[in-house]
Amino acid sequence: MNRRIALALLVAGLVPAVSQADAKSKKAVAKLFASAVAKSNESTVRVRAEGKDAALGTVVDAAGHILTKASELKGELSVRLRDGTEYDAKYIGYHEKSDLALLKIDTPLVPVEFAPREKITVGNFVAAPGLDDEPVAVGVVSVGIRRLVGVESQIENTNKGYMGAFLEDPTDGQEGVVIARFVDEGRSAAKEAKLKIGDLIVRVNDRSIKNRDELMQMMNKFKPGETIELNVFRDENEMKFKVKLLPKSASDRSEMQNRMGGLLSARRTGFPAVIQHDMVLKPTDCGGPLVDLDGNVLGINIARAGRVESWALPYDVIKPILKDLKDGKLPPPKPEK
Amino acid sequence: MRGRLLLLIALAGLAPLSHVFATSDQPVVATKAAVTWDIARTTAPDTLDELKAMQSLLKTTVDKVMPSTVGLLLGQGAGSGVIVSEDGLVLTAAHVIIKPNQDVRIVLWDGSMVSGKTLGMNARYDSGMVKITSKPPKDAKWPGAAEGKWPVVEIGKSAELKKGQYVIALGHPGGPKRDRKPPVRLGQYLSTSQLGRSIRTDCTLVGGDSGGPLFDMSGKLVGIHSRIGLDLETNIHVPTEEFRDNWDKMVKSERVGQEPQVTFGVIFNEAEDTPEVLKVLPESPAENAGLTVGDRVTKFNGRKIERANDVYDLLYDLKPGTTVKVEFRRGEERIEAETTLMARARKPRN
Repeated sequence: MNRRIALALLVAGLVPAVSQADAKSKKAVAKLFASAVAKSNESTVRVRAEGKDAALGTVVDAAGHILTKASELKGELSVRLRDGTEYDAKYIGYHEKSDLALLKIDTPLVPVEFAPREKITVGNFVAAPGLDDEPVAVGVVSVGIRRLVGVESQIENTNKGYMGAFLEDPTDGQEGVVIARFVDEGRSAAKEAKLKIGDLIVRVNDRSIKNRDELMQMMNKFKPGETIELNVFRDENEMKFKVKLLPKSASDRSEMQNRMGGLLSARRTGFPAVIQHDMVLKPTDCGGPLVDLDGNVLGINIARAGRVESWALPYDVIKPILKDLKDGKLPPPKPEK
Repeated sequence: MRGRLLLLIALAGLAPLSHVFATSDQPVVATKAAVTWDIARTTAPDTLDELKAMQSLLKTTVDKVMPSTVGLLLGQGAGSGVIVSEDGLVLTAAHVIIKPNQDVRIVLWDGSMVSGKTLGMNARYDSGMVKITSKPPKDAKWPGAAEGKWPVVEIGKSAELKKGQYVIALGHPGGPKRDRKPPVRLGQYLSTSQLGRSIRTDCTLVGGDSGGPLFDMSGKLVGIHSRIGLDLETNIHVPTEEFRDNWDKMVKSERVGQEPQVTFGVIFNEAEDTPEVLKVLPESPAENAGLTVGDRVTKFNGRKIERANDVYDLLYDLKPGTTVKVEFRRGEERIEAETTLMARARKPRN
């Protein structure tokens, strides 16, 4: 379903806005959360990748196992504790659908205690504990556990570069990919590069392309602003085109609005089920526990999903995955060359 | 932390004791008054008890107003609305309904679907109305459903909001979604425009929320979601006064005001209320005039420009094809340019 969703943008708008929002209020609420998160603070760690903060992590057993957000990880991993000590981390397992990674460090830790799902209450205040006494973000539960449907249910790296065209496999069994149409709204990089509907793409950056799946796989690696070279058949003639890829927001209005107001997680769709809350969570602050005012740990924050929402995986989703991760059924991804 | 928890339990334990004292000859012991949240309060909670009182009020209020919050589906468009009368009058945004007398499908909070018609609107300030034409579903649980009554919210006064007062946004971000009730967002009221026809909060909105309700902490309706700016603090709602002033006309499916016929294509600095250019839309008259981010517009069609909304206000009186002079500053430089105004895109804004 590609429904037009209504919300006007402020173009030469109507409101003489005054001062900045009262960020102090969120600060005040965060301060009041200090006692509620005191216990889960002990089970929250900072996960670092190649020497940079990549995510938060949630300690799941006393032996040093930690769950975190997989798609933020790359290269050498380490884990920093509240006392400032840092340990090399071993990548134990990875579950694609939930985007959870299991890490292990060689030191005893205090595991988190998850609360039963009945504790998840719409309208309750929630916080994301970090390494300090006060949480890194606060908000309220917006929606209880919900399944994701439509585009939200599909795994996609939305920070890649986009051609702005709908592609199909050729109907006559040829190798290559046909341009079926361009995006309806906004800009299309393919259209701007003078490609036409019906063009058959056979090579991308001199690598031959057999079908749509192969092309989509390859497209995941390119960033907005990158130029790719396409070999295309049009009316029996092979032609070359240079396409400068655009961000998704250039062609997708909903995407554009969602990006208004700060960074979103690169992987922010396709999870099995989520708790939705209105915390403004940095993408690098996902992976840690979601805690309410009574100290209940409701789940693990998994994505800054849009302008109005952040998502956490409920324990019901985490529990069976954690078991498989620990049992070695879900190996970590192979390091990319 | 353990200590603090114990202290709270000890305090709670005082209540029955003091009751005993009060009914005996002993002097009355001061009891800890139950902490409540004052809906008119403009500052953040100072204590954990206050935060919990606010949380408890928020939950009660959300439960109360949730059944009145609806999604609206028109053709390919999706927005939100809120039921304000027992016979099924829904307040929404003008840009959601697009025009009067259109068929509309209404998604109730529990996902069930009923039918309705669009009524009147004021496109200038983005207010609109819808009437539900169906009867409540047979399995509807709200009081009065069996007699054909719809669950309503009370309409409050946006003009009485004070800066910092907490407000609640409901609606259908991204359009109504299966398995998702309207998401709750908490924020604070920040300001009202000069003309009093739009208010601003930091309750975050996104496409699909348009037409959805903004409530004060008691559940009185204080705004209808309209549009957003570039930052998380610019979420704009139509005040309830706009609906009240044009109520009868809108109920009679009249069009009260018009949008400008022309577009210029600039996003000005709303947060600081200056005519500083934050964004120039591609292929717009503003781009043709050579405007870029950081410029400050000083004159438009011979009139002095001082505030973020001055240019927009002038657009109402201009026709497509009109050539206007634009004067702007870029650093120390003063630039004059001419550009021809374009008709607003005929497709609805969204």
